[in-house]
Amino acid sequence: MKAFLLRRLAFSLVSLVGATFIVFSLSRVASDPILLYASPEGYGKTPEQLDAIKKKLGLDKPFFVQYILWAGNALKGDLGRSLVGERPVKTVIGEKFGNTVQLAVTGWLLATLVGVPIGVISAIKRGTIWDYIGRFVALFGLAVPNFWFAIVGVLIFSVWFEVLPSGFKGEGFSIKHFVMPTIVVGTSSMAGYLRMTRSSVLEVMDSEFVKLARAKGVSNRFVVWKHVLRNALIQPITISTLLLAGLLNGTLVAEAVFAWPGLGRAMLEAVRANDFPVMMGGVLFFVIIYIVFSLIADLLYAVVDPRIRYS
Amino acid sequence: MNSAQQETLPADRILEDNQTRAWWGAVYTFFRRWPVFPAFVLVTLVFCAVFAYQIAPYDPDVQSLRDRNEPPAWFSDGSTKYLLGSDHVGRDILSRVIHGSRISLAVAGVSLVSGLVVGVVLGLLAGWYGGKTDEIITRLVDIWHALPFLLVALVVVSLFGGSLIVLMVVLAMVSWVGFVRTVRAEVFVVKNQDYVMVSKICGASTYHIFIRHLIPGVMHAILVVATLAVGGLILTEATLSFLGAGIPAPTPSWGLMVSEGRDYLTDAWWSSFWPGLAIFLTVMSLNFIGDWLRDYFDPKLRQLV
Repeated sequence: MKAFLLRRLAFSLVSLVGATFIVFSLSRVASDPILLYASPEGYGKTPEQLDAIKKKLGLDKPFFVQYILWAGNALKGDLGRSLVGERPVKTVIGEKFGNTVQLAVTGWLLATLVGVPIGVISAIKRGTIWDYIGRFVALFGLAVPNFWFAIVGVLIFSVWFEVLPSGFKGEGFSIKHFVMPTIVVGTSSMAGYLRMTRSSVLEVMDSEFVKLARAKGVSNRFVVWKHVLRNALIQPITISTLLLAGLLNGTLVAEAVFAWPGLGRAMLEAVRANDFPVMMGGVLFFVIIYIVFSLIADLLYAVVDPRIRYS
Repeated sequence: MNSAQQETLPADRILEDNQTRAWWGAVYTFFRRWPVFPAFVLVTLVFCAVFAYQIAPYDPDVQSLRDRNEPPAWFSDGSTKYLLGSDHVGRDILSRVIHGSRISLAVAGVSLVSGLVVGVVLGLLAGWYGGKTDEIITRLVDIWHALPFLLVALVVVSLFGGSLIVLMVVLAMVSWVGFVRTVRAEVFVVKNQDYVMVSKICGASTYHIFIRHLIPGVMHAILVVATLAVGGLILTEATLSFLGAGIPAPTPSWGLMVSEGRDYLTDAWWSSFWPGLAIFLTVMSLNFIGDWLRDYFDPKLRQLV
């Protein structure tokens, strides 16, 4: 287990370095990086001033040295300053992240609390109307473009029936504001989750020990609860952490449509304003989230399923 | 009461009833067996993409400010001039949706094929050589998975500017990963088959084994992954266009159309509804056919999925 943990940590580190390096190189390939760091008002700057900024930011150094400098600063928690408003990137991320977490968690709850039960029912009642409903929900959720889903939701519930708010208004904020964004964020993960649970349950239902239990005359309810679900839900449970990681950076579209003041929206604004330090900080932040959560998922897998022994 | 009625039915009536049922049964079985509806959607789509200039009633970019936000034809105040209505600058939505299929298919097609080539080659190498090669390629895939794709795509578009080529490259950067895993796993199975062993013993070159045995052996898996990936690519292209990181306006891209219509939701919901519906139907059909193909090639999975 210890050896596995070390190996796994080493892989995480490789992923972290690799992923940030890819994004970092992109920024250097695209154009002269000085244009990314000199703020928009900087167009009138003289070449001497630009050189000074270059020196200050270390852009005159070789490519690899620049990456190491950037990574070193990031390790110390210094992600640079936003070009818009000159605020530290860390602060920008910090103050927006809470809103994104709220939305990701409600979406995740929807995906789990709806997706898993429907998946189980769909598998257990295979071939019945329940199964068709479940499969249709899965097919729908995986195919519907979430931005369109959001807009149709706004059209029906905000414009026509006026029962739900169409965006985040700051004042008079209530639980109602969560309804549509949550559904938009959660639907596709819910569908994916449903499918996974369904095939996992079907696979276990087809296994020898379940057949034996049935042959012994064990009641259907007992077979399902004690034998099938216990084994079939291992995978969905462990995957749930990865799902949350995916949702944290998957709220982007919902935040854009519902004017939700989260990290995704901040990133979009940064992209529009060519605020490169913020973009880079955001990418790094999401990479770390993914890597940590996938590590947790792997460990959880070993804890939940005693048959898994990493060596 | 029901059974009493059945008893009193004349014999020929029962026969007729059975025949109708058999006829319906055959249709039902046919529809269950073959993905008729999804295939129809996709054929229509490809037809629209190829013959867009011939079948679209109007030029998709021509504006007519007098006919802004005209409702679809079946509305009381709609006219047959604009079957699906017109948008905020009076462009015909039907024509734009038809032309939009070209963009969707072109972007998804090109990025799929380039991703496929890269992914399949890496998957073959990883599966066949194993060891260090496999390790490096697997790590690379892991690194790729850690990237927050949508955000990276936005960054790339903001760095390089939005254009057809950039969009295709960005999407190819997503699509290759799926192929590596599947092809690698399949190669592990195929390479231990007797016929590959025998071929090797007989002195066949690695090139020969790749072309003659491995690639045909993993073809069905590639086809399934490809069909399932196209749907995802179309969805991603639409999302990027919606977020303003796709092909610049006025090119009729479905995602962009949804985004443009958004500001006129209260007056003209149709201008963002139809393109979105087109995306939805296309992706749903592709996913359906992907599932169907997987079942077709691997009947063992049929009950599981």
